[in-house]
Amino acid sequence: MPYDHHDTLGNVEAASSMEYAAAHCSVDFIRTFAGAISGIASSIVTCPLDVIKIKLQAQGGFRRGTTSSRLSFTNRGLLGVGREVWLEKGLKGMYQGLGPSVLAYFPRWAIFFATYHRSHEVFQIWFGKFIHF
Amino acid sequence: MALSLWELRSDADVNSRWVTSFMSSLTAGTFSIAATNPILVIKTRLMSQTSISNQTYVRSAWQYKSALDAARQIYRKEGILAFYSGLAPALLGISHLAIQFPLYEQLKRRFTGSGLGEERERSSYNMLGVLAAASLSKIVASSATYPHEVIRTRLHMRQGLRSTISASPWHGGIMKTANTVWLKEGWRGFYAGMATSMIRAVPASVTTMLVYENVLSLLMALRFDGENKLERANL
Repeated sequence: MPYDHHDTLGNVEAASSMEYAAAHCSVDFIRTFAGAISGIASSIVTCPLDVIKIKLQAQGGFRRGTTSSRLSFTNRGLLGVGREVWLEKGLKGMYQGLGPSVLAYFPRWAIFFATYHRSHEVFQIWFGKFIHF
Repeated sequence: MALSLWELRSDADVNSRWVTSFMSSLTAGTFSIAATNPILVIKTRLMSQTSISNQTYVRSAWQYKSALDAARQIYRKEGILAFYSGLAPALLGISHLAIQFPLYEQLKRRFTGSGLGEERERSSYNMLGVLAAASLSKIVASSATYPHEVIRTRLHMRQGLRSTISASPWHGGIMKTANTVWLKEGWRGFYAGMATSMIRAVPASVTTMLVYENVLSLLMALRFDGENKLERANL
């Protein structure tokens, strides 16, 4: 490491490996990375509710209305559908589609935040000129 | 006089902030949604498929084993365009982001004094500000655009567009779906599962923003320190 011997002189603090790595990342990369992490985190938190939400919305499409009176009630709600998924498939059912969900949301937020900041910088200059006199 | 000029100036600042964050979220939303829509189609198909043993629902028209299997089957049976069914409503979903993010920026600035991706000081009070701004902006944006989500999900669920629907998915797909929902279920159909959606959407937004703001400021601080130290070391 090129900065090691400075440290032994006692007056320059060496950068840690994390700092060293971060110093070599572009700001765009850091934004993309942070966006990806946030996308992964939010899909893990919301996957069970995602499963339930989609099943609820799909109810109208797939319900077998007339064949069985016991099963034909329309609105079992959040907890009803949740219990049904839990009983039928357990934790695995609750996290059904987590892979695709993470795959969809981590690039989405990575792209979103990186593009957002970049265009924010550009638009700030443009509209700053127009709106300020 | 000086005061009124200053006020005008600060109003212009606020206006330009709204316009800037609105335009930025439109741009970023377009790119990010267009790039990830195919994955979302696969996700929705996987999540809404019903198992063979299920008694409550009619079996869904598709049975996929995995994400990769779904991608292969959709490509083989329905062609490349199937990955973009529902893209138009997804692009309408950009309007969701264009409401959410300018609002988030304004609220966060009001609560903590700094905008998205900026941080004056790390404190639990600021984290609370992020939490409040993320939930409020998400609630407003969700109630404004929820019908889009219903239509989008229904569109994704249609399979074999060529065999069942005469119109192409590009023309009349959204209107046809909206019309069907309207005729069969009335206005309630457009808000079906809205409470559930909020219960999901608000924690999702809070998680996204809290994690993003924290990871970003952590890494930016690391980068700043690292650059300083390397610079001093290289002197």
